[in-house]
Amino acid sequence: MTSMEFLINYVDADVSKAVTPANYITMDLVNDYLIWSKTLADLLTHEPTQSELNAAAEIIDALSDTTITKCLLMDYSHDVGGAYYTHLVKGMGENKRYVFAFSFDGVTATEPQLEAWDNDDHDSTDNNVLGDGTPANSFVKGVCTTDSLPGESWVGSAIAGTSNILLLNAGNGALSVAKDLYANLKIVIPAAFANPSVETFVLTIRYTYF
Amino acid sequence: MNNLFTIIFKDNSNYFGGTLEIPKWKEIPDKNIRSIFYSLPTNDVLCLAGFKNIYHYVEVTMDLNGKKGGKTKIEYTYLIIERDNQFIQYKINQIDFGIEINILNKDSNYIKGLNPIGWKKGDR
Repeated sequence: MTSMEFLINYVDADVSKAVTPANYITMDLVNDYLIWSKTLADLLTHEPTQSELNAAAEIIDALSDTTITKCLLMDYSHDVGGAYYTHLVKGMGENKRYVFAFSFDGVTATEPQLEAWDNDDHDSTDNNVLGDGTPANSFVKGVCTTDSLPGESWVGSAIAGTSNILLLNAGNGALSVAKDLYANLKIVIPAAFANPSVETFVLTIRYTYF
Repeated sequence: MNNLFTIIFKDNSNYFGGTLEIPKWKEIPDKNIRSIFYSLPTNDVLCLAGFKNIYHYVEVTMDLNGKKGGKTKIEYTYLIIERDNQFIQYKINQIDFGIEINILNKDSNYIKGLNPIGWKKGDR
């Protein structure tokens, strides 16, 4: 069975994992998680509390769409670069190529893809952040950067459900060798969005093997 | 252990597949396949024969966060046969046990995007 690791770049989003693996943290997908926040600090020496997360939350703008300012890795084992629980994901939402990495150790039958769902049942997208049942309205935006930079002020594709997915090999199909794939992601809240909420959603990789 | 599939070749030899986790599809000898007996999650067997080419793969999901983060979940397996210039896909739901049968266009991005190493020769 082909396996996949999910990594974030916490040093320099212009440098690939192949060139400098030490720039990346492999996420422990059982215990680690991503935090999308306006002001939560990098390099916290404790797991942020709900109160701290609320105080650092993004503010919905009445007139313009709001891209959530930061994405941080909550590193449960806090064993990278010192006893730090939070690490800023470098280049999130910017014109940067090597931000989120998906490292496959073998071939696949089809092209791996990124999806977003309400929960691990993978059958609904009713959260506000996923478009409240209309996947095209998902706040979660992604762009595949495996082959190239996303471009200045990239808009990205809405990600939610089966209809709105992100192909991770730039549309080049299945993996014929082990390969690192890349994407940049961001969350964009529409102007004057009327339903502020605290929501969790699940990012999912769908891939295949022989 | 039940084999996921059994293959009978044109020369009357056979090959036993592995499991959903390690199907051993790539390891099938390069010989013409006469028929395949494929174990369904209902314990029934799907028998296919008379094709030009055949393809099989397993589709999994892995959540990057949440209660089941990091665990692979086998959602579907697929058999695709090429016969009479048609591609017929058997999409087997390993969770709800249903089978969906689809006729696919040979020029579709889906068919063209399949890894060519997964195709095995039939006897037509």
